[in-house]
Amino acid sequence: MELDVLYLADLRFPGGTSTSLKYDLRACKMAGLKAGIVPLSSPLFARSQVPNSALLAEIQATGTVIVPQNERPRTRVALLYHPLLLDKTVHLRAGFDADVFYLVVHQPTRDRRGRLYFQTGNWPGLAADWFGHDLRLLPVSDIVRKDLSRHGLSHALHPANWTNLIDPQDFPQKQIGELTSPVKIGRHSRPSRDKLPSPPVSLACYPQHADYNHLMMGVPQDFLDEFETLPWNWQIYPFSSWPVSEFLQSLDIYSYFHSDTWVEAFGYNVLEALATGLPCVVPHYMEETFSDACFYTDPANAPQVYDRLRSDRSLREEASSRARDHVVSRFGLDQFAKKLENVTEAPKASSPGSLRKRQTPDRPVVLSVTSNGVGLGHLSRQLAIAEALGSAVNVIFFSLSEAIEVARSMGYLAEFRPFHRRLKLDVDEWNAFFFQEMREALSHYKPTLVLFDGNLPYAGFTDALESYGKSYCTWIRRGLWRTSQPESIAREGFFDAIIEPGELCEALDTGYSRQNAEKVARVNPVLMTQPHQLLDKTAARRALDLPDSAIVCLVQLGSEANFNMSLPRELLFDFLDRHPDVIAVDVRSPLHVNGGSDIHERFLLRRLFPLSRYLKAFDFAVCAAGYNTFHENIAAALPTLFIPNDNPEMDAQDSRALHGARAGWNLASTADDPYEIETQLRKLLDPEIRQTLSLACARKTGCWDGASQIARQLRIQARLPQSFQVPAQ
Amino acid sequence: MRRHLQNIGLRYALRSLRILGAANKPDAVLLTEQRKRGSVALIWALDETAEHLSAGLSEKLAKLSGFETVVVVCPPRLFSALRSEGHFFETLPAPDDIRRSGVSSNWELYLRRRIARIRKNWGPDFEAVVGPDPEVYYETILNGPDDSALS
Repeated sequence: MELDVLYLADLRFPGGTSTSLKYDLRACKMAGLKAGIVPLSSPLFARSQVPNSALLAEIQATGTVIVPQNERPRTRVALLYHPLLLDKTVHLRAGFDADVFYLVVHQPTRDRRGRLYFQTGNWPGLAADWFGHDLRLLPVSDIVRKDLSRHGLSHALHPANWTNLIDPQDFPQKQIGELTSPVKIGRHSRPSRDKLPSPPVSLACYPQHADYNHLMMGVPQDFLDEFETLPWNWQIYPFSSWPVSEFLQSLDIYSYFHSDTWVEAFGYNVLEALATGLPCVVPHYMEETFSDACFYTDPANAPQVYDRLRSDRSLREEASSRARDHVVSRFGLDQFAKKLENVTEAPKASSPGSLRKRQTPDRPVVLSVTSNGVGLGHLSRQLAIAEALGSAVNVIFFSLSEAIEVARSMGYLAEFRPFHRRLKLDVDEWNAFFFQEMREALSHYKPTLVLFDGNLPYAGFTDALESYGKSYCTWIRRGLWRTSQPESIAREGFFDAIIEPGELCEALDTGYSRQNAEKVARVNPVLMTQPHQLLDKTAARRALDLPDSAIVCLVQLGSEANFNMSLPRELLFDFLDRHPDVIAVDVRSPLHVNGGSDIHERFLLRRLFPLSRYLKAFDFAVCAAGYNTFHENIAAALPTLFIPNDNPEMDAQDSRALHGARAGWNLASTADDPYEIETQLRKLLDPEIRQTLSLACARKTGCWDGASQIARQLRIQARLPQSFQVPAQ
Repeated sequence: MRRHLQNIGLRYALRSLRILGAANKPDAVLLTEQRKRGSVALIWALDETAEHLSAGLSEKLAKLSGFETVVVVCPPRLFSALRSEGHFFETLPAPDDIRRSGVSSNWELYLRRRIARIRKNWGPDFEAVVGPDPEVYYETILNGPDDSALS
């Protein structure tokens, strides 16, 4: 793999560091250069902190290469993209070969009071020992350059800066017109206390005055709590609650002041405001970065600048043009090629990389671990994700599910280990057994990625992950928990990513699974079969050996391992007795016993997995409201009476059934109400009602790609290859 | 003990086990204390190719019905049938599945250790096979010079 520039970067920074990387990637592509990324995890964030979504989108849009874990790329320039990554906790596997390697310094080494942010004394040693290069520094601004120089690092400084860039097209220039009172003065930043001045200084630069409204996006609660009452003309918005460009368009003047301990290394927020053509009022020291593009003043004198701008339209117009022109000429994307060329060096003849024999790597292994569950939910989601990951990886199933044959029959290597519940074993003893089995499997398969789908990661499993310590670990965890589960939440720290498959009834989710929302990534519902992959009615009926002309009802009331569905079944039999034109088909999963003949000439049994491809065979359905069945039936626009499994151990199936019924997608009844079940069954005989339900379901489009979203996310975060080339023999 | 039992009548063997007190299975981590006190049979049926229990396996299960615990190591498609009869089960990847998987690793070591762990974890008093012994079933892998045939 040959690259022009390799970014060794943490994708989880919420603010300017990620935004500048985003625009670097765009600029690199525009320049016809090839960028790659090795995602790393700095110690700044919680292990499963969700990556910056705008950066992920840019990676996908630009086709930026994510270097697979088992590949060693060659690059002209390698950039370690934040000093926090030069840390003993950051591990880089496989390595890279670069003509030149730099640490991009996004932040001064200490605050104004001398408090150190980084142990700079370790930098030369870590750069040499861990990255195989001498320490060389690229500051993002002259402010950082001076700090590095002042603190004994001038010998490592490259003459050029790694200046942040921006795409002005993302920030349309604000039209300057007459101002209406009150003037809208705004600021935005990540919600860190350092990013705001003390309350008295804040009141000085953002005064309570009838002529001004102060709009602030990204304000930490601890700052607001310092005020007895907030000024009436402050409007506070949560971080990222608006798209930045829209927020800036709503302003007349931009004003950014911060805590007296903080030093803004660059001020990406100010760059965004300048790109919008807003007159910007900022502290004096930022002149070093933005020269004559801003108004520089002290916080106390800021209102005087606002007054001048308010009363002088031509001053505003001139400031706006100057701001925009400055950004376009100095920070536009066309600067990238020059920026890269400034730091490129000729390859060294004795570079260790040039001597290294390049080998085609093996297809990386993804170990898919599923808990047993009472049905096939966990296994089905893992299979959907495995299919979405495609042939670039080698998915191996390691499951506690007795239905593991379904994975094997789909072509996957599948392992099974017995679960304590059926063996009636003590849980701790079983965990000791499972630790040994899991640890052995990890050493044998050497997975790049371990995917776990289950409600509670077992201690034996997490201990084995920790003991092995070489895999990227992801927890796929559906939501809709009935109660708070602190034991589950406490296990989040064992995972690099936690992904929650989406729920159509998200609005009714009480949110127990998202106590740490910043650690849980959410995607669309995960389906085994996309709507366009469904067989048509004729083909599906032929495959299931069902008559063409009958009214066919699908019955899927679950394994009944933990919930009694005998009443709905009884009523269904009565219903069939009264309606000889209806055939019911009970589709059983491989969890059920082999064989078994049809219960009745019009109550047929079929053993099938996955069923979803054949859903068009049915005119309506009577089903429990498990995650997969609920979403698959609605995606297939199959009119369904959902009868939730209300066992307290299960997810809140009643919420799904209720939400769907309110939305007009399905009918619903509890399992213990014969009158309601009877009423709803009668409704399903009415073709008009069935058509109404079906049409309502069919309106839900564009939201069924959760498995693909997970696959895309994992390719980036776990560094999986996009495609795999068979090694030459 | 296991080898000894294979050479004597099953009925007599079971009675002997009970008399001897078969609870001495400290490493049998998959057995409850109660099951440790009973007799355990382990059947290797790795090469079962039918969709359902074969006549050979059914016959073997019938013969071993006197054992309190019966564990069958077999392809996973037989799990539900075995569960319905109250048996336990384990599985090992079939040689063809291993070859198809393209996982180039030390399968010999892995399979040897796994087979040994199955025996240790269940502590069988009696072992039977339907089809080949595990060591024969995996002969090409276990006795192969290296893993090159697998990748």
